[in-house]
Amino acid sequence: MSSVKDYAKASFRIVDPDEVRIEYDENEDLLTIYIDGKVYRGVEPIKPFPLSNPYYVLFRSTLTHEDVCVVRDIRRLKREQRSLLEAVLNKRYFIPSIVDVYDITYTGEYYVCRVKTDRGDRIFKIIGRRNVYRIDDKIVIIDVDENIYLIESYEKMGRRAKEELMKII
Amino acid sequence: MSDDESIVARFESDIGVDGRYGVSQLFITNKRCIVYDDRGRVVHSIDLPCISSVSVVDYVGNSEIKLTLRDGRIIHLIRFTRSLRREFNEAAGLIESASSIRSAIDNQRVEQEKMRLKMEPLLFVLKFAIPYKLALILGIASGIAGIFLGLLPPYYLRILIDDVILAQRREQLIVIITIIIVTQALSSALGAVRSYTLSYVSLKVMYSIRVSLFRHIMRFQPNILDTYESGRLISRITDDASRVNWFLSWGLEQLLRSVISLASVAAMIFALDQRLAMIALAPLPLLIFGVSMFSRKARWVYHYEWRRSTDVSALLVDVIPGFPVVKAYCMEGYEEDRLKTRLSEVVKAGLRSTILNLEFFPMLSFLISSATAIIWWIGGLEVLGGGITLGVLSAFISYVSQFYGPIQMLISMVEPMKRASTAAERIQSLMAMDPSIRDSPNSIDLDVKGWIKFENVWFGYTPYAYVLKNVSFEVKPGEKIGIVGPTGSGKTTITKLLLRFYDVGKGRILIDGVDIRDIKIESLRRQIGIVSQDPRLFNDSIANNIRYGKPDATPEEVMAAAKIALAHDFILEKPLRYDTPCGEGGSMLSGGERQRIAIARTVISDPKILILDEATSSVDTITEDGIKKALDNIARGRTTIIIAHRLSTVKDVDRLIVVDKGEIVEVGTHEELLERNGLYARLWSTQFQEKLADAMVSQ
Repeated sequence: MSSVKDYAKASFRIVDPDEVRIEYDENEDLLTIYIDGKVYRGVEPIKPFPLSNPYYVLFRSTLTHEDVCVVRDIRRLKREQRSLLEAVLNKRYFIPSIVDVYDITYTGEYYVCRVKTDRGDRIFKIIGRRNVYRIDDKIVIIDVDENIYLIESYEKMGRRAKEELMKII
Repeated sequence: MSDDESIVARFESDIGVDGRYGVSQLFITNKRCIVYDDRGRVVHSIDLPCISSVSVVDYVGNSEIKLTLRDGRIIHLIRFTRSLRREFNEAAGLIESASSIRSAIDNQRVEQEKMRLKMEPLLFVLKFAIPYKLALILGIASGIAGIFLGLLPPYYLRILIDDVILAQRREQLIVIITIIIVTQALSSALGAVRSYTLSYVSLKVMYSIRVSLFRHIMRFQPNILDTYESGRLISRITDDASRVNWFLSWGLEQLLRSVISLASVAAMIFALDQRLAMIALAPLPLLIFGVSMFSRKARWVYHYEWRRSTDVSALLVDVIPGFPVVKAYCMEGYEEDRLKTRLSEVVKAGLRSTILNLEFFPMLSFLISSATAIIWWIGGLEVLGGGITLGVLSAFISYVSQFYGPIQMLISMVEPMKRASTAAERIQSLMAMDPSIRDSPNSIDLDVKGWIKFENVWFGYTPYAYVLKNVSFEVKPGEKIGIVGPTGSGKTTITKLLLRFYDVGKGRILIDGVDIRDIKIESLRRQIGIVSQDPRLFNDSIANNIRYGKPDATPEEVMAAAKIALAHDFILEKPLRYDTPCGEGGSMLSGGERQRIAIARTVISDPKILILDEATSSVDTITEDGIKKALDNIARGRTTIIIAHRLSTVKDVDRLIVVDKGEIVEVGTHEELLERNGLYARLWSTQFQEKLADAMVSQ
């Protein structure tokens, strides 16, 4: 009987950010990973916890479906490596952070939210509280088209934004 | 009866020996139990030492005490309706053990003592406001100060009319007006202080009551749901808490304010003119009589109205989650009709209470305005005759209008006060309950190895109605056993006892040689993992649901547990991966996904003993195969008990225990049991034939 802890150690190789080298294969839209002289091609970066632990990345082979390695905090990668990885991840995980809320109006069918995000202004619709859920102190909003928005901290929002958000949370 | 024989207890049944409603009596002495019929003839007289066991058997609409004597004879001692079930359970207990007689009687006395010492419910809940007493006192004090400030304007009105306007003292006008404005400003400020502090107390008290109730409920074992339905427990925390809270914050303050206001206004009007004051108070006895009549009637009318609203909620709670069934059977019209019927009842009940209000309140207003008109009449005559000044009359009328305000307030408080008192009583009775299962003073933390022994275990959810009878078996560390048997045979009960959700009636359960009642409940449960047929997931992310089994698990442990449970791959296919919300009860996931996440939750806790209770019975064959592989992964090296209705899922275990009607009837491997050609063989053959028939149909 092996414990989950042992199984985790055996299953997920946690690598030091300095030990890993990442290359981007534009044709395949996948990564090539070099660890300890070994090469892993066709690797996809996955954020297993995209909201609760967004800097934790699991690298998974698309060929064997095996988990190649884990980098617990990609911010500790070398600068150019980090930029490269973030560019790939930003496409795969387009989760804008809402930084301000201009207004939220109810049309009788939808709540129409006019917001400012870290990726620019946006108008989206949600049906109701069902589209809003909390994860730790973050608020996740999934609109009617399944786009995802994140509010890092409700408490840190401005007064007007908080008052508007009270309509949907 | 001999001299040394004394009666210990007497129980009267409501069914006669002829099986009709009537009387028969059971006497328990220190030597025998004797049953008499309605004519006083002895029907049974059994010496206590001759009794080997006693049980209470339930039938439709009635039950009986059944004795098994040492010589093997069965005695059907006495029958009674289900209404007397509790009393006769006690009787069975007394018969069963002569030694328990004293303690049972003592317990009863302690209970009665407890009841006698019970505090007044509203006083009991008052303790929740104690931590906020300063804010409460400030709120009440500012309310009372507001009352006294409210007495000033009519007084200044008198001065304004008599001493300023009629006396033509122009220079005093601005002074009086300024005083009135300052008084009003102060009154508003005090009102704001009162509102804020009482709201603060109200919210804090509500928080305390709810947390205390929740914490208290969490001390219990799941068997509390045998006493309280989950809906009723939720209602204690939500509805009852808010009703009590209203009393503790606003109700208490309004009560005090109304009484003080009444007294002070009465004092002022008597000081102004005693004759007019007597006229003003004349309708009071009628009002008091009316209020008592009203509250007597209103109680039932409001209760009726409240129950009709509850009926609507109950229907909606039933129908909305069952929406797919309603649609599948095209029963929308039927459900709409049911709702309409109940809503009509709400309308009728609402109109009834409106009519009751109309019967009373217009009369109240009429009495008050009549008294005021009479005061105007008599006061007017006195002003004209020079007995009193116009200022006094104006001030008097102004005070009288203030006098009836608190009376109306007190009247309107009768019903919510009653509701608050009832709610407080319900909270008090729940808080007074002690969990029947708790750690004993000498209980220990045990590092479980996985050796389980059931030793002559008897158990019934209601005392003496045994669902497990003399169950004995042993499981060695690392062994995998299957418990099988027909529906209702007691398989799941075995696991509930092992987790100590209930305590055994007789016998004992040992883990590594230690009676589980001597192991700390938390220590025991942390080392036993259970995957049930319909696992409950919480409305949280997948990661947090898995972490429920180990709150401090690292991300790798969460993923490893999911991997063992064959859930990792499907989780990674979801857009939000492990942060995907599960929905209420796991509603946003499929049955197989839910099951595998529940397995991961069990796996992550690294249990030493694993219980799989029909873990795959509600999923399709392909999913079942996946789950079986996952379960094989985690069962390796752990003591595992698999409960299954579908025998194919357990045929490969080390040993099978066959249970029927609460008793172990066969033990052996799959092959041995087939060879024995007993119950297991019959069950196997039935299921095999069903499978064959299914296969032929699908071909």
